[in-house]
Amino acid sequence: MSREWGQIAYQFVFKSIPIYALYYFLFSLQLSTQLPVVGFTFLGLACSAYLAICMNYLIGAAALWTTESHWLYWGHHALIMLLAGFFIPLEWLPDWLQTLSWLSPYPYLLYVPTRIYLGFEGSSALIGSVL
Amino acid sequence: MRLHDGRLFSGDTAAAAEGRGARRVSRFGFSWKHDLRLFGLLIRASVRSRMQYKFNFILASVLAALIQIADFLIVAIVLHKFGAIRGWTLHEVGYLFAVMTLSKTLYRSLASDVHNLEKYLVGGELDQLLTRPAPVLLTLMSQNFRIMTGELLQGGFVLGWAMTAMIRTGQIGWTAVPWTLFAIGTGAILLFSIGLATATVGFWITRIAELQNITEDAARTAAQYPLALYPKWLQSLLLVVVPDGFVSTSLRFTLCGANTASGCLRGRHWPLFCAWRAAWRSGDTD
Repeated sequence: MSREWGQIAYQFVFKSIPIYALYYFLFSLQLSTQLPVVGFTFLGLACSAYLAICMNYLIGAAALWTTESHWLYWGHHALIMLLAGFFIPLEWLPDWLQTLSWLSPYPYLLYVPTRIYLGFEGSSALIGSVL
Repeated sequence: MRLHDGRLFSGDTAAAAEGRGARRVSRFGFSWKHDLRLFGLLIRASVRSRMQYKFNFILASVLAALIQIADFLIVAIVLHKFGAIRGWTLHEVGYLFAVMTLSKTLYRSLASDVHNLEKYLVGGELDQLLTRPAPVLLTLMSQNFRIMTGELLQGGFVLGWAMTAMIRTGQIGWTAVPWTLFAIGTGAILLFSIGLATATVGFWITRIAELQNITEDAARTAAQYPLALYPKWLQSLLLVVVPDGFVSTSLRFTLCGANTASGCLRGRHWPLFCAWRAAWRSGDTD
C-alpha cells in the first residue's frame, strides 16, 4: 500500500504538475481561485487514488485464480477510458451505459473530481467517492 | 528420441535439429519450407503449453473482446453525436478500425514475443534462445503463441457489419472483399516490420517498453482512425516516421475503388520489412 501511495505521489509531482504547468502556459488553462473548490478537488483526488489502489489490488489478487492478471489490467484501463469520462463526457453515453457507469466506481476515479474542479458539482458529489 | 548428426535429441528438439540440418541445405532452396515446418512445430508446442490454463485462456479471450468493444464504442458514440467526421462515416471508420484490429491480431498471433523482447533481454532468457538450433527470430516468434479469439471475433464482427452496410449502399462492391483480406495481410506485415524495428533497437538500448508505447501502441491507436482527423504534422509523422498511417491510406484507396494504387502503396511494406530483418540480423549477431 505504501509503495502504491509513493507511486501516486511520484506521478503527481513529476507528471501531473509539469503537464498542468505546460498546459497553463501553452493553452492558458484557467486555475480555480476558490479555495473550497480546490480543497474538495484534492479530497476527491485522494479518494480516487485510494479507489484506484483498491481496484488494482483486486486485479492483482485475481491472478491467484486466473494465473495472469495483465488482461484484467488492460480491461480495467479500457473501462476507465469509456466509463470514467476520460475520453468523452458521461452525458454522451447511451442511457443504459450511463446507468451502468454510475453503478460502477469508475466515474469517481476521474469524472467526479473533474466536475468539482470545474464548478459543475458541489461537495455532495464526493459522497459517492467516500462510499 | 532421435539421432541427428551423431547426437541424441528428444521430441521438438530433434525436429529443431533437423531444422538446423535443413538450413545447411538452404543454399539449395529448402530454407523457407523447413523454417515454416519448424515454426509450425514450435507453435503447436506453444499452444499446448498455453492451453494447460483453460480458465485463463477463456478469460483472456473474453477480456480482449471487451477491450476492443470499449475502444470502438467510444468512437461510435462520438460519430453518433457529430455524424460524419471530415467525410468519414461510421461504417468507414468501423471498417478501418476492424482492418487495423485484424492486422494487429494476425501480427501478435504469429509474432507475439517480438513485442516482448525486453523481457528476454533484461531477464537473460535470450541466451537460452541463442543456444537453440533454430533461427532466433523464428524461435522468438513461436514463443507464447496464442489465438487471439476475442480480437478475431470482435474485429470480424465489426468488419462484417461495416462492409455489409457499405455494399448495401453501393459504396463498395464484392471485389472489395479480397482486397480487404489483402489489406489485413499487408497491414500485419507493416505492423510486424515496425514491431521488429523497435525490438531491434533493444539489442543496443535494452529497455524498449517506452519506445514500444510510442512506435507500436500509440501510433497504431492513432492510425486506426482516419488520418484526416489529425493535424498535418501528425499525419506526416504517421506516414514517414512511424508509417502505421499507410494502412489507413491504403484503405482509402480501396474504398474509392483505386485498387491498383492501393496495391502499389502496399508494396512498400516489403522493403520496410526486409530492411528491419537485416537490422535484426545485425543486432542478433553482435
